[in-house]
Amino acid sequence: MAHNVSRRSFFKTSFMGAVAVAVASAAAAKETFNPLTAEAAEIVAPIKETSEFPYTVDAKYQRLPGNKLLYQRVFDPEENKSPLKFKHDDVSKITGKKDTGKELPRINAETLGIKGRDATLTETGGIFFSHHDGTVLPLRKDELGWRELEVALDVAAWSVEYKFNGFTAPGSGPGGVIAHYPFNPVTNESGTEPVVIQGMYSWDNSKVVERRGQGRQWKFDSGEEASRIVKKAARFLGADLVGIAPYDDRWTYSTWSRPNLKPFKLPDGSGRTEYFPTDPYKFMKGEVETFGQTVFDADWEKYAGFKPKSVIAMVFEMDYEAYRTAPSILHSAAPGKSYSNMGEVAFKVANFLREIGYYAIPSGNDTGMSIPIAIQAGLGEAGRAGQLITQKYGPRLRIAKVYTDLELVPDKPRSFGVREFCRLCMKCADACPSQAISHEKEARVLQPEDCGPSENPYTEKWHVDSHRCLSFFAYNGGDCGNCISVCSWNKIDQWQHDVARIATQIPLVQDAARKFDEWFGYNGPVNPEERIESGYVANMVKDFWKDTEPTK
Amino acid sequence: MKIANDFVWMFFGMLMLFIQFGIWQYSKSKAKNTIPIQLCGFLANFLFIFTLAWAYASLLEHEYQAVSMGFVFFGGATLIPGIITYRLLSRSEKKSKENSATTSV
Repeated sequence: MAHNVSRRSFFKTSFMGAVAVAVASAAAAKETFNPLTAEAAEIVAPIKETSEFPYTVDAKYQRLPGNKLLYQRVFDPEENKSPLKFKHDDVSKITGKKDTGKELPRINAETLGIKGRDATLTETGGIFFSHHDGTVLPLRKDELGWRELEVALDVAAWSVEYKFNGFTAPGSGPGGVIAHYPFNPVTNESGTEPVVIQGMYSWDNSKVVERRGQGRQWKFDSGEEASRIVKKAARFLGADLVGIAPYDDRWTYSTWSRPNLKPFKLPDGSGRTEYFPTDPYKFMKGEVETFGQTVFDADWEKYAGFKPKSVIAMVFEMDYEAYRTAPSILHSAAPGKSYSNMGEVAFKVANFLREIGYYAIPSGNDTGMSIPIAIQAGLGEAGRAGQLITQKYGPRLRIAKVYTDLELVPDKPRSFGVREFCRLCMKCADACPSQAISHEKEARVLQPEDCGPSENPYTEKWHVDSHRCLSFFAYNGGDCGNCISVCSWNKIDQWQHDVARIATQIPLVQDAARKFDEWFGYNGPVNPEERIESGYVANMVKDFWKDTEPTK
Repeated sequence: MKIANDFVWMFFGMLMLFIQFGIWQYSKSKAKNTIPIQLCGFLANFLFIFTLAWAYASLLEHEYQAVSMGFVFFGGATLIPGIITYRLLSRSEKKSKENSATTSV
C-alpha cells in the first residue's frame, strides 16, 4: 500500500521529529553541559605537574615550633606582658589606602575595660575564644549575621570539633584531648568531675599491634594499588578531595604544644567542674589569665610508635552560602562544620589503616603544617592569603591529614595558574578588614625581618600578618573569612565558571579577570566596610535562612 | 524543583531550535537564504540563548548581579550579530545592487 506523502506533511513530520530530538537532548543538557565545559577548560587551561615542591624553600629554612603557632602563643604568659605588635604599624604607607586595622588592638583593649594601651596577644586571644565558644556575644549582636541565632548555629557547627575531636584547630597537639563526664549506665547519672581522654585525633595505635600479632597485615600488590585503595577509602569515608604526599620532615612542627588547662567549678549550681585554658572568673572582670603550655619534642617514635612514610591529605569543602555572609558570625559555622567533619573522617581513615595493620595518626591542624602537605599531594596551590587554593573549591576548604607507615605512591604537585592570578588579583588583600594580607605583587622568599613570631621565614610566599588577622577576629566576635569569600577562585561547580576559566586564558582578559568578577558581583563587595554597610551581608544572611536547599 | 530545572533547560533547547527555524523560514521567504545570513543568525541565536542560560544558572546560584550583568554583557553581544542579520535580511534588492555598483567603481 503506497501512501502519497505531501511535501507539507513530510516537512511537518520531520519538524516534529527534530523538536523531539531537541527536547530529549536539551533535557540532558544540564547533565552534559557541566562536564563538557569543564573538559574544555582543562584543555584550554591545562594543569601542569611538577616533580619537586613548587615554591622555593631556602637552605636556612627551619621547622616552625608548634608552641609558636599564633593560637598557641595566646596561652603563653609571656605574651600577656606587653601589647601585641603588628609587622607594619601603618600599612597605609604601603597601600596608599586607609589602614583599617591600625586601631584594632586599642579597641580590643577597651572591650576589656583597659584604657590607654593596646591589648596583648593573650587578651586578644582571650576575647576571640570567649566569643568563639558562645560565652560572650559579639559587639554587633543586634545586627543580622551576628545575632544569638547565628552564634548558636556557629557553636553547634563547631561542637564536634570542641567536644569530640579535641579542638586541634588552634594547632594543639599531639592529637586532641577532650574532657567528658563519666556516666553510670546502671543509674543513668553523670559524674561531676570530668575525665580527660583522647579525642577523634587519637594516637592510640594498639589495634595495629593486635592485627600484626594476628598476622593480619594486608599486603598490597603494588604501591599504586595501595594508593588507589587508600584514596577510595578516604573518599568513601567522607573526604571531598584526597591526595598523597611523601612524608617530609620540613612540614612537621619542631615541637608539639598544648595549652595547660585548669579545673573550675561551674557557677550554674550543677556542681560540675570544667577545664579551661583561661580563668573564666577573672575574664568576666576584664582580666585574661592563662596557664602556659605543655611543649613536647616532635618525636614520632616516642608518641606514635613509628616514623611516617606517607601522608594522606584530605580536603573538606566549606559551605558556600555561609561563606557569602563573611565576615558575619554565621559564616564561621562553615569552617566549624568542616572542622567537626574533619575529625570524624580522619579518625575513620586512620582506623581503616590500623585495621589492615598499618600505623596511622589522624591530624587536623596539629602535628604539622597542612598546606605544604596538601600542595605536595597535588591538591592545589598556595594563594596570596597563604591558603590552599584548589580548582574545585578555591580556598573554601579545610585540610585534615593522616600520617602512616604504609608506603604509598605520592601524587605530584600541580599548578593551574593560581600563583600567576594571585599576583594580579589582590582581592583578598583589599577585602581584609585588618589589612593583614600583603599587597606586594610578587611572592618572595620571606626573611626573618619580614615575619612575626608565628610566621615561618625562608619560604616563597606573600606575607600575612597573623596579629592583625586575630585582632579583627577578636573585634568581630568570631572568625572573619572575607579573604576566602571574595576570592575569585571561590566558585561552585557551575558551567559558567568553567567558561570564565577558559576566558582567563586570553591575556587581556586575564588582567581584567578580577574586574569581571566584581562587575558580575560574585561574592559581594570587596571593600570590607561596604560589604556590611551596603546591606550585602544582611541580604546574604536572609538568603541563607530563607532557602533550605543548599546552593551547590 | 529538579524537574522544573530540567524543564527550563529543555525550554532553552527548544527555543534555540525554534529561533533557528524561524531565521531559516524568514530568510527563505525573503529569498535570501544564504550561508552568511544563516551563520550570523545562528551566532545571534546562540548568544541570546547563552544569555538566558547564564542568567538562569546565576539565578540558581543566587548571584543576582551576575544575572543582570549577563544580560548587559552577553545580551549586548547578541545585539551585534542580531542587528547584522536583520539588516542583511531587510536590505532591499535595489539598494544592494546600488551598493555593489558603487563599490565596483
